[in-house]
Amino acid sequence: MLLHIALQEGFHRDDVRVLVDAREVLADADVTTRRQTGYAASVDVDVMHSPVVVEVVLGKRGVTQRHSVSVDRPTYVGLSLTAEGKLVWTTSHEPFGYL
Amino acid sequence: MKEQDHMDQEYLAEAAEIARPGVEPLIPIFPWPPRVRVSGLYVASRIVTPPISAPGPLPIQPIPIAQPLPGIVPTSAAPWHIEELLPWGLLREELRLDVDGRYPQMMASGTLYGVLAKRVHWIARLTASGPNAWTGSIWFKDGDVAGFPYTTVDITTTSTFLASQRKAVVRLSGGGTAVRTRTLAFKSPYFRQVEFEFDCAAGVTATTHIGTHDHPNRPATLPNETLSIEEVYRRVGFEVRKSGSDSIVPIGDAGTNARWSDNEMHDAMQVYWSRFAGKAQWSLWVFFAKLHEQGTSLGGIMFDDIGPNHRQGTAIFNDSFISTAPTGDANPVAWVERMRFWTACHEMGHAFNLAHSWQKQHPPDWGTPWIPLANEPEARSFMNYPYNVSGGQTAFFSDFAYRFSDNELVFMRHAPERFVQMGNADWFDHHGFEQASASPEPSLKLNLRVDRAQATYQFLEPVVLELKLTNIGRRPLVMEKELLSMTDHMTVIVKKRDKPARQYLPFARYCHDQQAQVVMPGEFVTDSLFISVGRNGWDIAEPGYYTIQIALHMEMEDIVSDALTLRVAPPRGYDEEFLAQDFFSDDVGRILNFDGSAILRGGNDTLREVNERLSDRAVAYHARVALAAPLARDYKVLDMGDRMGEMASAKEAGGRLRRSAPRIEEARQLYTSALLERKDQAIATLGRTDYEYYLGRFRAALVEHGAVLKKEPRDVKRDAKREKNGDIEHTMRVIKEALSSLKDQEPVSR
Repeated sequence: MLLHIALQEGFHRDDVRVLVDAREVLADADVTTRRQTGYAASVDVDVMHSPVVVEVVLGKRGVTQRHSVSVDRPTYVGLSLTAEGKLVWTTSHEPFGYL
Repeated sequence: MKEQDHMDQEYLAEAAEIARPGVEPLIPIFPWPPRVRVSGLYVASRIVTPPISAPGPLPIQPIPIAQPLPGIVPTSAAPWHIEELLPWGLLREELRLDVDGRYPQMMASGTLYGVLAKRVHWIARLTASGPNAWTGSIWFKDGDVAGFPYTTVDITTTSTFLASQRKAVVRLSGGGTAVRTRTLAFKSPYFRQVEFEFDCAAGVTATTHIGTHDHPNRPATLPNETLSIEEVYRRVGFEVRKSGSDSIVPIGDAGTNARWSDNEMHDAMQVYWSRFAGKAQWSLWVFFAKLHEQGTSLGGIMFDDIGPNHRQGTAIFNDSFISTAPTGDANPVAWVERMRFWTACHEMGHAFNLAHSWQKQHPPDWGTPWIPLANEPEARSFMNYPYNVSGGQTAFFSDFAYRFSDNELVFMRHAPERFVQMGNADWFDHHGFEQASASPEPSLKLNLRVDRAQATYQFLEPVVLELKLTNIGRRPLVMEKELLSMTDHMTVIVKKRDKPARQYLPFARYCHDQQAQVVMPGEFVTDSLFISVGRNGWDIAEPGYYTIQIALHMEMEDIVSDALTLRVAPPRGYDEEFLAQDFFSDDVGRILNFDGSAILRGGNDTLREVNERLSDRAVAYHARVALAAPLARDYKVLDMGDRMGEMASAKEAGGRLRRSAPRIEEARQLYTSALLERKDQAIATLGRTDYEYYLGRFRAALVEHGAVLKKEPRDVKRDAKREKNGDIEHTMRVIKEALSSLKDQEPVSR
């Protein structure tokens, strides 16, 4: 089943690792949001069971968060950083669009 | 009869204006008496006859500005008074009055174009104070604010059907100075002008119009009309024109996969946009294509954050997710058309430097907002994502009136032009030229030159530009004698390839007596600009390609030079790499910039090492003249003893001025080596203007220290004229004569 994880707003030269059930699926030491679109990076993961644990590590910010995500149908997880550096998770069953 | 015809024509023009959808009636049938719309642009310009007395003292501090702008520093020159500091020429003023018509913001903004780049931009929030009268506090200032102390504006308009007779009286007061009153004439119901060009990739249709009632999910009060993109932006306050003829971009130019990368679109923009130019202009290219290389998730993008002029091009992708209506939508065809239309307006908003509705507040490292703004995550604006609001896109469009938010309208109507204009400030940030007033038929041409066949510089070699300002008009021009050395009238941009542009900020700005000179047609004035290092640090240091461009701000127009590209070569070897660590320092930069220092010892040590270890390199010429200058004459040094560096006044620290005696023999050797031994190389690296200047200093030092110049009285006048005309050979002969006379004497000081 498709699990799409998108890094969206607020990233600026961030060191980001994303793990799904402890398996690293995205590692990028220089993630920056393109502010015209609010999009920074994304990864598609084919998962075999549901739910899965998605872990996000922002190295330079010293932030690590884990969420259990149900993936019983194609699922889209958006990760954004607020101006205060808080990581915000959004989950959707529709693909994200950027403008 | 003729006058009546003129009045009729004006009336018809106004009537045509109000007949267009979306423009609030100028002369409504009810109520009676009719009310004339007064919002729009008012202008004034006037000729001031010289001479004008010098400005009186104005010891008034500027009011705090809402948001200081990076790179824009109020001039350190004496406060100026725009009504008095007019030795010649025109002064232009603009008022944008925004109190009625479509989406009135109850704001006024003004721009004052003073002599020699003196430019002030202000914005005030207004309340009605009577029929056709408004008052308000000035809450934003930008530019040369030191001489603009006003805090309050009162505006009164003359209400008449005839546009040519409409006036606004603007009274500025507060700030502890005399009231300033100006009368400005109505020019346009729009605040600014812009032009759009719509081009399509082959096989793609642009959606530039929409029927507002085509889709059933809409506000109940939404007027039923055919709305165009141009009309959307007219309602913002722009006089919109179309540029070129909308054209088809052959798909072959996109590569083989028909998906467009940003670079491909940028290339296409340069080829197909009839207005493409490497400069800021109120002109925008809108491109409709199938897909971006990112795929269907990207509906559109303001792709132009490439190169020195951002925000000139924007694209809409018809085959992306914006063409997929929600399952079960009542009218999917209309939904798609609306979404494509909405996306075009949205991406074009980015080209006006608008951020997304939820991006108004952001971390400092994203850039500087023009004023502190609040996020508007629920705004029914073109700049919000419809599917991100509470209730999703259904909720959004049920309450969407095809407009921008009030904050966005204030920005586009009233923010300083360089923030909004395409190709000016970088996307999401502020930098670059205030190129608002570049004339299509300039009377002056500014050339940047270097004294060498190819603009290639050795590593470590400072860059000295030669500026040449030529009168290319038909009439004599009066200009400041020191115009080209007054860097506060210039914006100098240095851009290293693949790096953001930087504004060169000189270490010092010089205040000269205002002396006018007449420059006849075809004549020119020249000066030099030492551009490698300034308050920003070393703008030109690393190997690579640099592009330099200068805007010289005159009273009525900005003279923008062509861009000069130069190359800095890689280091020749280990010595240069090693010395670079000390050389690219603030101290060395200051010593080179100010032609020497007796107190920056560390920097002087570095320059001595450069002179010894890199004696055959161009940088050694710069080192020698900088080392020679303080040795050639008495030098006053503030001696603070052991308390140097403490935060104490010189008096408290027991400081005293100490005289450093000249060491003319060392100076002679350095100057001789720098200026006389290899003249052509010296001119090439120091620049002709500065070379002449150093020759003059050398000669003066020699004379001061005992050189005898044997001259007949009649020769003195002739020689002075030759030196004034830059006769280098003559000056060198004079110096050699002086040097030989010194050989017969004991040196004054060694």
